[in-house]
Amino acid sequence: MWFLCVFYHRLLDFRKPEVEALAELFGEDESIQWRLPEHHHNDTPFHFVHLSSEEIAQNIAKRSILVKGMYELWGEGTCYEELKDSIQSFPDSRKLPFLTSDSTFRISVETFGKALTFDEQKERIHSLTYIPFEGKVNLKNPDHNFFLMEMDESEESNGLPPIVQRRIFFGREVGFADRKLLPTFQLKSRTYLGPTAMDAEMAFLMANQAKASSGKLVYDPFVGTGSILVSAARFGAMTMGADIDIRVVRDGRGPDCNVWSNFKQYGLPAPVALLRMDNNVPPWRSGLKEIFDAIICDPPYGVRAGGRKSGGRKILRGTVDPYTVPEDKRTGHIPSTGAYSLVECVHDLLHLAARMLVMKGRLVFFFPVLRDESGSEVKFPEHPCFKLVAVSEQILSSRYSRVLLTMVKVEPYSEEIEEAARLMHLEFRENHLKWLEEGNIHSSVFKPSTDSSQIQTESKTFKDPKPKYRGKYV
Amino acid sequence: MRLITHNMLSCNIKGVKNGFPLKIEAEKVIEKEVDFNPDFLRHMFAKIEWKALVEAARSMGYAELPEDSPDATVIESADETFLRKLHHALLELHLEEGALVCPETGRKFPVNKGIPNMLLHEDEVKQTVCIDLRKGNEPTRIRSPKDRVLMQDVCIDLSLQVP
Repeated sequence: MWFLCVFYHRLLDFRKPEVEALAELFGEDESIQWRLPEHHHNDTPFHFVHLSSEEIAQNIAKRSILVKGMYELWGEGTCYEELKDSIQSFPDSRKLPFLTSDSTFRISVETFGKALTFDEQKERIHSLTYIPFEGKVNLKNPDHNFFLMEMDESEESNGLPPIVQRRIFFGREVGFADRKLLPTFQLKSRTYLGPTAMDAEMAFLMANQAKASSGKLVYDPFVGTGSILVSAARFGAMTMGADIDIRVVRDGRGPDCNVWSNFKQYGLPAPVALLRMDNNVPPWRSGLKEIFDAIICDPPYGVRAGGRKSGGRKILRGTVDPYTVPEDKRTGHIPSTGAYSLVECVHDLLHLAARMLVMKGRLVFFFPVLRDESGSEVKFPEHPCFKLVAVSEQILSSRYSRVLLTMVKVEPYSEEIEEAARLMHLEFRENHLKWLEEGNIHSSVFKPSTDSSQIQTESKTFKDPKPKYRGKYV
Repeated sequence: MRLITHNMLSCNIKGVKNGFPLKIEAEKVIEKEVDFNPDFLRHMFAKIEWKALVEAARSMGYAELPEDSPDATVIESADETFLRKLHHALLELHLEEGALVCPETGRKFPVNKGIPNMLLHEDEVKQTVCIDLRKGNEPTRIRSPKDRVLMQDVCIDLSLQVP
């Protein structure tokens, strides 16, 4: 069945992958098809999606962060006459069950890109008298909710994508989103935060991409303050995290301000385990494999927080031989750690995921991308065990953005695959020499701008009269 | 630290062959209640090393688990007595303070405030020596930040037995 899916106009790249992941979670076995309404640009909030049942649509809408609502479309058109024809040609057998005299209903008018006065809204509702509503109106808690949605051609676009022609939709609400999650979990009110804590909206999106749900074990190898695990736990998953920095994981900022208190704050079950370990030298027993249902993480890119691994700077360079700590100093000794480049970090992550994820398990992680003018094709890390199913870009600044990669494990781990992966990794590293020559992502992001004089003259003489289409900046 | 975690960890000091299971030296054990989730337990059961779990539970003061791993029928059955015991051992027993000891070397991994510290000391890690392939085969001295960044990514693990 085709449904009209209306999205919140945010994080455009993330919208469809989230719906697809949730559809799979709720039992959709056919592949999802999408269709654009006539004359609409791909960035539009309106998309038609094909799903097997109304129940799946309802479940998706309820759990999704970016879907505003799912509707059974009764009619559409460019003007009200066309809309009337369209609705009347929609089969009665599909309409009548929802118009019965013993049910209650409500019609809401929504517009995108403009505001209507109360009278204008009433006028539009009254124009629908040709639909044989038999039931009573209940504005607070109706059995059936109907929506009349109008989207105009956008001259005064307000930053919305340009539409060639006006479009009007009328549909019955099948599922709607519960955005109450976001204000409850927002970082502003969280007890224990760190500089790279994932914001609530993105953390929930990541948990949805990973299909976190009750009975599953989700792992974060760069747990930090646990912001990603909190959202996975909210969706019912059991969580586990590790970090190399023991102060973040064990101590926090005090007995009531640590990772455990973050979970306690929302009444969520605490993580099954928190560990201090080095992902480069992991302490897993050799027979252990296929134990995590999902791995969700945000590896350190080296911009605002760099990664660390065992070894110590001087040892890794070879200037100093590894030293043995004397017996009496061993207990309190904090091993030195050295720089851990992003590329090596991601390779270790892929290796960990290839071994520890169950088949069809998902690996969801962020990867930073420099936005350069050449627009050259970006290559992402690959591994023979994984199939990349979604790539969603979030723009962070004019210099760089990060991409959420979702990978599904399709091949079981073996020695041969490990060898093939190592070769892929070496090849990938070669291609990244470009970043390395500029001294890594950190300096590219914080490099002072070279055309500052140009900016000054522009702002004084030129004022942009209408807001430009913001595209992916929303 | 719960026993489900203990069941996954081993000592990974270079050269150690039998690092699993780690012996538990318990100084402070507490019991924390966790919601019973039979689906999760059934998933996990297949991955657990049973003998290690029984031994570890005993050292934490819980001896209710059967010596031999029960077969699948017990797990799938509606009778939850076994699952309840498993739940208690796996998720509700906590090692707050103590240590995990490597069976081969005796090295102690401390557990503080419930968090095991599995980080290895400098001489326990398999060292990778940086070799700059472009300049020949000698470890090169790093002079500038640019060199350092290039070096760390050209590192190849040769598994040299660095003393």
